[in-house]
Amino acid sequence: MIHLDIESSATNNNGPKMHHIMSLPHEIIEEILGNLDYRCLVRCSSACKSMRKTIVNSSQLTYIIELGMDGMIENGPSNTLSYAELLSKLRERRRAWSTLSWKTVTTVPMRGLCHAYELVGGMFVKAIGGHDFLATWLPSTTSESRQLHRDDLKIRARDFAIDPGQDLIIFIEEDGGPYSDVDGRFVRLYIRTISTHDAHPDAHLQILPFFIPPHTVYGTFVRSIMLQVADDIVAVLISTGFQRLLLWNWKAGILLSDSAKEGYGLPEGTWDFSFISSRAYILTSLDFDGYLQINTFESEEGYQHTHIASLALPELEDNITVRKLSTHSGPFETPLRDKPFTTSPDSRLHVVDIQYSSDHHRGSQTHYRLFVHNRTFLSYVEAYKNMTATGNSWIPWSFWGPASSRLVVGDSSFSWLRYVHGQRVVCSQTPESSPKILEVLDFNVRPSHLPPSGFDLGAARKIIDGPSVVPPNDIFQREVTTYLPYSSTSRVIFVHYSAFMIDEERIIGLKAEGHADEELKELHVYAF
Amino acid sequence: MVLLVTSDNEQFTTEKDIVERSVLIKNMLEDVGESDQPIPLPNVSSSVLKKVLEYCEHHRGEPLPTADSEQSQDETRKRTTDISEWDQKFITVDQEMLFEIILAANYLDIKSLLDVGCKTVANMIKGKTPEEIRKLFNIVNDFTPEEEAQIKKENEWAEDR
Repeated sequence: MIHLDIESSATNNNGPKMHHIMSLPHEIIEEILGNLDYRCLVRCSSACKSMRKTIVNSSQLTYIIELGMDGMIENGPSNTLSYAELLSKLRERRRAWSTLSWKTVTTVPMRGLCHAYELVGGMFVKAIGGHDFLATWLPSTTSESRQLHRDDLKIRARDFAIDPGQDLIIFIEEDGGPYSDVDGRFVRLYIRTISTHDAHPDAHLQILPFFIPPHTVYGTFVRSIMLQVADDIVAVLISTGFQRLLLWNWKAGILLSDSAKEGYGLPEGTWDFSFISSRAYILTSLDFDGYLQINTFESEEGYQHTHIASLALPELEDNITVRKLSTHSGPFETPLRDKPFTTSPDSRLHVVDIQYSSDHHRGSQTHYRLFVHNRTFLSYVEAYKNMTATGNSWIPWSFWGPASSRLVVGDSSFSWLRYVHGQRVVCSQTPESSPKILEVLDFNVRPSHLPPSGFDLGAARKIIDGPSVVPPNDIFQREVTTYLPYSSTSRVIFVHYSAFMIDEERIIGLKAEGHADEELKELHVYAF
Repeated sequence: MVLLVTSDNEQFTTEKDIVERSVLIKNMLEDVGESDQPIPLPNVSSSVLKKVLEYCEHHRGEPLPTADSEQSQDETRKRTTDISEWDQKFITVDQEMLFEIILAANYLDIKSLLDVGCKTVANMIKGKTPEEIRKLFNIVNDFTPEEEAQIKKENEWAEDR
């Protein structure tokens, strides 16, 4: 049987016709382009009209591009939603945030005091007195809240960290009272599940202990403990007579590093810690006018610490010092199964709160707030890995700060944490302000894609893409100009809150009497 | 043994377990049953079929994706463009042949070969500017200068991060 048609004669090698990429069947072009990331796709879409049309008409390819546009990544395969449904979900979420048009407001009752709290993966957990524990799955537009209460922990937990995507809660407990004996004391991490409080099945050891030897001046007094989880890593920054950082792989039950034991120690003036990935972190230091030190603890040869770079903050007048330098970002959360997309590691925002003080005029403190994307820190890690940069480099403020950050005047009021998630920051209300304003800053600004500033559904939005200028003053040697663009959206609400928290799909207003130790009455959950 | 006839009327004799990597041919053989009838492949030329059979022979015996796993494979597909070393060498051909192999893999329903082909084209695109992409595929820029300026502005967000 001989079957000749136009197509077969065209594919004959002797024929004159050359195959062209755009002559391939539509679904094959889509299949090819489906292998590309958003940046490549955007470039393809400007190659020619027909390529552009293929991309625009494909839900899958448009979804990839718009995820990139929103600084999001896919969490993994979606078993239930088509690309068209995912795309519409993404657009709906974007529209809701850009106009602060939440869908539901739900009151969640809370009872008792709040000595420690955490908000990760849509779950709010608070602890009272170290043994009483209340976990709340916060309501969303599609689900109702539920709570899990336990008062039989049999631990005197000072603090805890959670990752609901791994059903993980890690408690930290100290031996003895706040001032302990001269022989030193132990601190223990308990690796448990949120759901049952049993030992976590993925943990090789259910208790990770470490020892605090007595300090000549401070004894074994623990001034502060900070606990953070990122994937399989848990970090403890503990302040006794000095600052000490410990990192474990909690699954393997291995202590990866302990700054007190290893030669490298922590930099002078270390104040705070934040993961930038599950294998890298920043430390803030008060020394040298303040700086952010980027470190990794993994290399191809195994676990190994590397100081990648230190990013300097603006230079200060002679009599000025940095008094506090804290850093905060959204939690590292293992994606829950029903969440199709999440903030990309690049896009996470860090909020650095700086408090300056003058030696000569104590009390005349000035607060500033610095916003930096995670990609700024990760780019130094990348450059080091690609051997285009040497380790342990000092990066002056003028090299990185103006283009990659935004410095604004901060405020000194007490604030609950978890006010930043992804690229968004929810601002605290001032008690006096009337009417009450809810303001959200968003550092994902694409001028060409955003509707112009203005009013929409009761929300006012402005885009700040010009510079912020702090003129030379008592604090800074020179003018400090920063350019990282952001948008601010505000909406009038009729309730006053002690604080706001934020996650991927919620703003949470806290009704409390004041500080974290006092009674927390209820949460108001604004779901998007 | 199976007899295949290409568009340029060349005959290929091959073994059943090689050629059955093509779901199209596998189904045809199942429909026809035991038969010495040659199978016509009017959409595939001899030079392309030679390459395709080379691929099938190398991968003979590997499990074929079932309907179920094919679907989940498609869904879990990450945008990774890793290709095994042998496949990479195999697919190092000129663009004309590459497109022919992709078309043949699509027609013959050989999913893994189609994947390799598509990923190879994707790898060629990676990291290139629109102008470089045009040059690569001999694409004519049919946007007006005004349209081009507009698109460039719209796409700025993707470039400066």
